[in-house]
Amino acid sequence: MRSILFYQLIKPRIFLRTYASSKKSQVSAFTVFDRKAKKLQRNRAALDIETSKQVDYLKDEVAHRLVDRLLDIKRNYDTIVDLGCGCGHIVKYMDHDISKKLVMCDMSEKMLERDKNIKYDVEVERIVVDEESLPFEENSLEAVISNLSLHWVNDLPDSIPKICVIHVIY
Amino acid sequence: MRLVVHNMLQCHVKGCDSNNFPLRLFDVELEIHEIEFNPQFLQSLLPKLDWNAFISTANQIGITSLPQALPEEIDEDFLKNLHRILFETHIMQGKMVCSNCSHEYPIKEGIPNMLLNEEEAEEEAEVEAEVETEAEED
Ligand SMILES: [Zn+2]
Repeated sequence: MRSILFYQLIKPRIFLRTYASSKKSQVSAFTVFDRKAKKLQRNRAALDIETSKQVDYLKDEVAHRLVDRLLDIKRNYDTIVDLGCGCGHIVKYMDHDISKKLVMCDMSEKMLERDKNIKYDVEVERIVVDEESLPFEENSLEAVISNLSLHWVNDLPDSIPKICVIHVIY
Repeated sequence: MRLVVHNMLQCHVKGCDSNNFPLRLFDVELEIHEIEFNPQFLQSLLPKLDWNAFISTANQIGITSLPQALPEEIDEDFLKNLHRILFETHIMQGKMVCSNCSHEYPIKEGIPNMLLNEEEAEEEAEVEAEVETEAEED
């Protein structure tokens, strides 16, 4: 009797706790991260524009190095996809000789929008994309790069099977 | 979003593997943003373009000035027209719908949203906010 009473008392609390962490999504052995919570966190971070700009320097630095490595490849591209672009770090170092266009993809629409009005050296296209489920037609991409983002993807081998990732730092 | 990008997007709902490209456009608002004409870039892009998908999509949004098949002789007028449609025409608002499973992908302020569980996520965010305020009230 006591234990039942205890259960009834505690039940609403458990319900509250588990409800927030998405009971609808299927959980596999590879599901380590709560992507919805991550998206909410990224959106919230980008809303405070000035504060979020103060922490751009880290991803900027790694983006700089990533673009530097792209220069080692002796070809130029028409389109490069930046997967998990955040507010736009790779785009700052990209120039017209490397690629004519950069397709910036991020799951956080607020991050994509933060620097929307800045003009860059390359043509920019923005798409809200979850790196765990890519919407690109097979063989439609020339190059996919990613800067400090794929470590938040749950099942990498399953998420990126069809595209050819040429240069990834994660 | 420009048509050149639309040309590489497909429905990625789990199990939706056929007839999921191109996504059909509805309720679109277009804007023209002029950029520099670059014939070499256009030429290099042509082989990568799915021409049939591009033509049917252009027709959906009322652009009918393109030939049904890619012409063998490509002149400057053709390239200029193509430049305008592929690179300068921006879809600012609207939605993309999968012909196979009817999943809708919204386009807002020029940015297509390709997330699958957006509604679900929004609902949960609301629930979460409610839970938080309730917790605070407690
Ligand atoms: Zn579909």
